[in-house]
Amino acid sequence: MSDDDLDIERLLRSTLSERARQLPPGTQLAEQIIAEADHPRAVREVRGPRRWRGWTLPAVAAGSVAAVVAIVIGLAQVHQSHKNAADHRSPATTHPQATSGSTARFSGNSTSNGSGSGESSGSAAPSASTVEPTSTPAAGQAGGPVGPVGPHFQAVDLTFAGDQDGWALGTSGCLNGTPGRCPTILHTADGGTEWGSIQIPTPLIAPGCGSECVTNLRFANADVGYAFGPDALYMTTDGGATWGTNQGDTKYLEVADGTALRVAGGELQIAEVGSEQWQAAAVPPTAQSVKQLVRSSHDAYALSVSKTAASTGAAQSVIASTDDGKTWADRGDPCQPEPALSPGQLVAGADGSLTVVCQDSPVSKTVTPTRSVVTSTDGGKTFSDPVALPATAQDVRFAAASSSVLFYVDKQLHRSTDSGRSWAIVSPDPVATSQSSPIVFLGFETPDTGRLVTGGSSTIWMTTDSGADWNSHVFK
Amino acid sequence: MDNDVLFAQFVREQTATLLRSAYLLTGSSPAAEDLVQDTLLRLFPKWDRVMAADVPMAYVRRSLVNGFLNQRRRPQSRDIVVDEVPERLDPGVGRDIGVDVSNRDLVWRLLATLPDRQRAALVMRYFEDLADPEIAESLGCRLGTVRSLISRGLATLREKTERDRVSNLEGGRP
Repeated sequence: MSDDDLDIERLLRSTLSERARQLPPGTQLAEQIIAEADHPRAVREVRGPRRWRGWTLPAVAAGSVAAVVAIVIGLAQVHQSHKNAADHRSPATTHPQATSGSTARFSGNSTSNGSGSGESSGSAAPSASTVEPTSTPAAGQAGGPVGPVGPHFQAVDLTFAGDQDGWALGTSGCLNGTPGRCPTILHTADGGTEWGSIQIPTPLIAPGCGSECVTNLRFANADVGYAFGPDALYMTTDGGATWGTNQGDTKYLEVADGTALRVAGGELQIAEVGSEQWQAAAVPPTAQSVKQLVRSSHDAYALSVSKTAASTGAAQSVIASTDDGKTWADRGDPCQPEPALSPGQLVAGADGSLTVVCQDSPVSKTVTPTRSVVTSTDGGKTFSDPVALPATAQDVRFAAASSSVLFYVDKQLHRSTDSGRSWAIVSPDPVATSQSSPIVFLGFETPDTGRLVTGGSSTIWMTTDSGADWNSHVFK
Repeated sequence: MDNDVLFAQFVREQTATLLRSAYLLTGSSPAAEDLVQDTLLRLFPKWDRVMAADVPMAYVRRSLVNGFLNQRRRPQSRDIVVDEVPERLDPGVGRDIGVDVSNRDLVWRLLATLPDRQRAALVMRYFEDLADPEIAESLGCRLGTVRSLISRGLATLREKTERDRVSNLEGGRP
């Protein structure tokens, strides 16, 4: 591949990213689509014959009313909130720089993260270093650091720093009685039994965020957290009381052991936890762009497209770091023993292992892909022989508690205790009981302790025996 | 949860994402709004089928791309809609500090001249970062066709940007 090839691809990426970034938010458009779905005739009469413009008409009046109500309710909650906040934060000081990133997991927020249009290459410049806190009350939600949980909380992402402090990003019924759902971040300091709402970078969680929605959440410790999405990254250094300015598109972000890694515009970047000084990571020169990032404590792994294969998208390499992302080495294509297969998903185990799901490229959705897994327990230097997986649907999510205990989710939760050689459906199956809602989170803080959340559900499932048994708790 | 609620939740969460893709496909913000609206309202009556898909967003995206391609197949829709009037780059002007911006403007205009399927494939690869099988599914074609569409699209962009560069160099000579 020539430099010209690379240049036109880079130029195209940056062009598309820059153009998309200029779009106004689609918030009004979304509300009008919903209204038209509910009352098609009425809306059409208002709209006129064909076209309406949504994004130049902010809902100022409705927003003002909601804000007034939110402030009134927020003030009433502040006293209790501050007391709770202090209580919740104190345990985290016992494990600073803890293990949010060591949660070996996938965050399968597939509709907004995995398959969303978040990649925005060409805009990967390191962010400004100054933090300008914004402490706006959440739209209709609790205004203080910790408040009650709104009704029917539905998570879109989950993160734990250690086995006690956890945060859930999602939406819930608005506490002030405003119709619809309000964006919410919940915090637990007791491993997930009791939850309380904290400040959010409003209005940056749908609804109301337009093009700057955050879809994922990571906390390094009880103070430093990151809320991010295809066009947004916001950081808090005070447990969510205030959030900094937007640091740009962030497709993946993982924190652990003092460093934060993110993929922005196809570039892998690194910063100290709590810093907005993002710098390009020292990836191997062959790595043109990065497509995935997983992490388990000091070990980090990413899937890169090599310079020699960017035009076909076929050849990919695993790059690995064993020093918290400071240095990286190219581990090549671990799926090469099977020439028809290429790396699909990277899965980090809570024991630092890496499992790579290799698969072929079926031409249609009706064709079952061929899949196998290879596992490394030495930072990607060597991999096991491929283990063929059973036939499954095309879109299947994988997770790992360790190098031997693996999971995949289709309509059910499947578990293997022998590195993928045999599989059994977990019983009782938390996925099946959630009425086939897509799973949004499955991750392990340790090889034994893990969590599972499905979309459209107010339930979080926990295991302390490597996923053999799961117990449900309601977010409350 | 009933379909109305699920639909509203999906629309609120995903409209911005869909809008970006639609804008890059159509090249026009009003056309993008229409495409997103038409796609979602067309799917609304069968939303349970969307939610039953392995990846609902992939289902919707495929419908969006199909809507775009079908719309463009209609004779009255063959015109290329762009928000801005294309302007030729001034020879020799801004080739240093403004070169990136100029190149992006050029690529954006050239994208509008590509065949619809090539443009769609490039948007899915280089903006949505989809793998080739996902692009093939969205376009309803074979994997080899996807690679061909992308290869030809890139070749066209490369050729025309190079031609423009040479033209500007020649035009800028004293």
